[in-house]
Amino acid sequence: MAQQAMSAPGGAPASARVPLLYRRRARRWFVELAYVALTVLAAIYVVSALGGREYGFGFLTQPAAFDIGNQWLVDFDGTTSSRLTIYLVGVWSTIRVVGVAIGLATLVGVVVGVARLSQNWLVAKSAMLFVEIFRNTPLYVQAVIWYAILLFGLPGIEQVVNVGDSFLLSNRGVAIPWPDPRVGLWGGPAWLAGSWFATLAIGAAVALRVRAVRQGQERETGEYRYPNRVAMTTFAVIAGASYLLLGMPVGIDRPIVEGTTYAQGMAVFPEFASLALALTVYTGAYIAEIVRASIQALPAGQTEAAKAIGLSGYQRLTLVVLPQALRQMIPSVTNQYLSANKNSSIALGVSYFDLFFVASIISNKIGHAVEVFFLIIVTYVVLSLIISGLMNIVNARVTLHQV
Amino acid sequence: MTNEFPAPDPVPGPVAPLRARRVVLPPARQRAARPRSVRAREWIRQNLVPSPAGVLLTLVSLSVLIAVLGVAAWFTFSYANWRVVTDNRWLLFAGGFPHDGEWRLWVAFGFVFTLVGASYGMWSSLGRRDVLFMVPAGLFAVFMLAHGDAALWSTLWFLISAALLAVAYAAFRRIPREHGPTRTLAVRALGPVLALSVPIVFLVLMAGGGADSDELSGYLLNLLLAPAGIVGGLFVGIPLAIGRASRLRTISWTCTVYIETVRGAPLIGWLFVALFILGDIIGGDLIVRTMVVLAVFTGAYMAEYIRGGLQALPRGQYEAGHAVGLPYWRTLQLIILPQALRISIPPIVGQAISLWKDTALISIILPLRELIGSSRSAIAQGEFITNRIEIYVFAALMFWIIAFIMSRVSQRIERSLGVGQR
Amino acid sequence: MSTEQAASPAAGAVTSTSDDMIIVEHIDKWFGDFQALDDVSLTIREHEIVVVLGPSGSGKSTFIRCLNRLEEHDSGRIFVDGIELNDDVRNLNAIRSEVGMVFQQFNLFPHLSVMSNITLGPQKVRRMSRRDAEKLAMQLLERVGIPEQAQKYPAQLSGGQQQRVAIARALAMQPKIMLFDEPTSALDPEMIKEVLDVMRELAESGMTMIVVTHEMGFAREVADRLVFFDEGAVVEQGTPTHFFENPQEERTKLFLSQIL
Repeated sequence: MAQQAMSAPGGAPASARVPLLYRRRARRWFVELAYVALTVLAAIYVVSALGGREYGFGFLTQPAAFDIGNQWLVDFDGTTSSRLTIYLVGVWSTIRVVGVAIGLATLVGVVVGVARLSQNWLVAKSAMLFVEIFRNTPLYVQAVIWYAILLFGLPGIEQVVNVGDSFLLSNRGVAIPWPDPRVGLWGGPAWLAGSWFATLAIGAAVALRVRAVRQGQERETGEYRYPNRVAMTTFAVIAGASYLLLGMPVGIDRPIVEGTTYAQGMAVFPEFASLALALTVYTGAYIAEIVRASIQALPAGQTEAAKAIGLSGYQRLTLVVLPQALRQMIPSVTNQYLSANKNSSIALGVSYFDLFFVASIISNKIGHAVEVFFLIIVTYVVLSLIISGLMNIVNARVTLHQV
Repeated sequence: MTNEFPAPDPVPGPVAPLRARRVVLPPARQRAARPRSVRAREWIRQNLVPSPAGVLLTLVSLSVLIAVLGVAAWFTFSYANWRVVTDNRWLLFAGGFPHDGEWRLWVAFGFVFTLVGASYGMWSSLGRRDVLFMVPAGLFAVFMLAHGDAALWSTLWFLISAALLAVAYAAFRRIPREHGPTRTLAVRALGPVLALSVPIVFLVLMAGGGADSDELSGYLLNLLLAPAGIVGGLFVGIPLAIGRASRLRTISWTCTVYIETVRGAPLIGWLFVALFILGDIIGGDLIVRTMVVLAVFTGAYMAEYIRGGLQALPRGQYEAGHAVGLPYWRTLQLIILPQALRISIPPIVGQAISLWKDTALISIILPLRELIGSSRSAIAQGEFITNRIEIYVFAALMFWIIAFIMSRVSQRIERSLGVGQR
Repeated sequence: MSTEQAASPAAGAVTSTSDDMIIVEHIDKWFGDFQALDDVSLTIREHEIVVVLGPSGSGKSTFIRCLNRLEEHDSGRIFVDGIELNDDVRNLNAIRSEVGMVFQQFNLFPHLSVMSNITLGPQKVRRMSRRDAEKLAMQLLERVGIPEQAQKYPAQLSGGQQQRVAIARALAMQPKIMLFDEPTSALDPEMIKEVLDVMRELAESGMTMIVVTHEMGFAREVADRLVFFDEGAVVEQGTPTHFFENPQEERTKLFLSQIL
């Protein structure tokens, strides 16, 4: 057989004799080694360039010696606590504003995104105007404008706008009623209020379980089992009964003006409000475009089929179009959430003490810029991981239900 | 396994299958157009009052719209004191730029306008919408210029720049759209100028006794930093994308770490680095460090979009390149990158818009006074301390104009990419 | 299939002579745990037309992709025109410009005109002047019958036209060997003929060709030798007459009974 004749015609070089320079694998090795060497050299250079500084995270345990004022849900005095504590308060401020903004932005985004595709010319054009304005101006400028309006457009606290003793509005922000522990029928142990809140959580869990069971029965038998109504009633009964049993330990505090600040109730300050508002509107405009694009990406047959079985416009939207579009949207929306998280760092521009503002104050006072920056980037990465982790869970659930 | 054989093909020769061809008949008779009045009524019926609920929707949105527009009009024409803007024109637009170097600004302005006109003529054409946008924008510019001492001169210069734009547009519009020697020549002439436009503008403004780097501020600084960051971002992003897609583990791994680290922190965090850390590593003016940070930051995002383009290409394109005899780098340069970049143009423009808006962040922590920083100094003078809403609204408008133009260009590119290719 | 069978000479098998163009000796190819090629040996003479047959997943595509090193074989040796395909980059570049390849999916460069698709290789690899390259391209386009499409883009052509451009692009490197990897599988039936006609003409001109195809008519009419692959090994080979009228192996018979 021909193949047995092993000799290479024309005396082709055997692979063993190929010079190193011409071997593909050797070349790859060389490129890789050169690259690693260069990277290491660059790293050494950076380390030596920054070598003249003092390093260490010891500064975090020393007293902060600055106050970050009272913000929504937080009133914190930094004179005695450590820098780490005050930094963590800043992190909490970031989480609060991002959480509120993400929730509201999703709502705004879905509404505006659907409105952009409305049959109604006026609605569609208004939605377009909204998107074009808020997407094409810098978030920071928007926040500064909101801040200026809240600070200079609203009356001073002396002329506070009072809506039915429940809502107070001035350039110190908005104050709203808020639940507050108080002395109940059985006297004043403070844990009564706490245990009522715990009961609420248990009640919610029980209600959700009831709903799931009822939904299961509905699927099995095909009969109406009213899962939502029964679940809500369950929750209401648990909440009401425990409230009475614990002797009404929680009341509603209406806000009042005390001197030049709000007392009682819950005050939302202009710093928080302007940042949350700007983030909401800006992120909402982006989400609206995502919603629009994913609805448009659905095959036209879906809407036509829904029309054919006689669903109304609202039913088409909520039962056919949105559930499908939602699945498509999740990755892009997650990206918007991650952006919103990072974008919240403009807080410094409206004097809201988020993690970046607090960190930059610390760095201004004592230096240690490298460590502080390390702290900042690690915190943002952790927050990003939390957001994408949560969204992965949502994504898994949505795809599970839909397939 | 054995029954997965492909469908048999009868031997020998091909079969001509019977297939119904699509038939298009010419119109048999002239059909009358619907009368205009009927069409208008129909439009209103379908778009504004389709049903009782629809009427309600129309009314609600109409009242919201009227309320918003009313507030806007009240603000613009009654509440606002626009002198905060007009009195601070130079500060807002040119910041600390030396007055005796004003001609440099105008030369740079004319150069950029000429390039814009030429590019428009080369790759696109002006539509009715563009003109509808350009006329008010031009009138607005003239209105801004026609105040103060040098009103006549600056208006004249602006008109000359506008004329340059028109001439360049008309000249490049005459170049045939199809491939040919003239077009190739024009691309070869325009391409390098476009690629080098940022350094050219810097030269015009700074060379031979022009402005010092710390005199660059105001809107001008935004207009300088954003293109520098975008062009620099491409220079950083393309190698990063190739590196991340590389088969060599060390390279792809380090590129991934780099990209993810940069994307992990907000831009303002990196500006913090420019201010407090980067000086020890690369030295240089703060403005140079800022440009480096903008390029590095944008590059990481661009790299991800370009990588998306690289991944979107079928493996067959690499293989065909190799089969034609091109080595890896030549395949990348001649076959892969041109296609990958083309696919990623829309997100790259999106990132460019994002960077343009992000230049507003610079003066939050850096002592560089771009438009927002200049606005703050204008307020700080005291006379206009109550007019900050006005000045920030004006700044927002200035950012909006450029961002809007860019988003329109991006839509146009997206549309033109949709046809023909692939 | 076993080595025994692959090595067993069938009627019409060729013997090694000095005009051997491709020599493949005992090559193996693994994709992870999957063995795509199992001890394949084959010799192809100059001017020979070899058609490779086999069911899907039999390794026939992997085999011809090894011949210009789009896939690297794991063991064994391959010589093309006296040059060994190994880790040596010089050999690789030499062989790639001597072996033309036509793909199932055409793989034309969509961002380049038909003309530029063809002139790219000659200009950038062979360092031909633009004028010469374009002259050559026009000749080739005439040869494949679509000179009028030179300035169009691939997306504007039909599948058959695209594949003919792909053939012209491969020929522009003036290769000694042409590899065809299922060149008609992605085409509508009415376009298959135009591509096969070009290939037939090419065969008559004396090109060494290795064709993976399911076009039995083409195989019977044009091939000097048929090679049947199954499960990564050469099961049987021989002239068309031998192959279609007197196949020896059970697998070959089964295959032919399914496809004819």
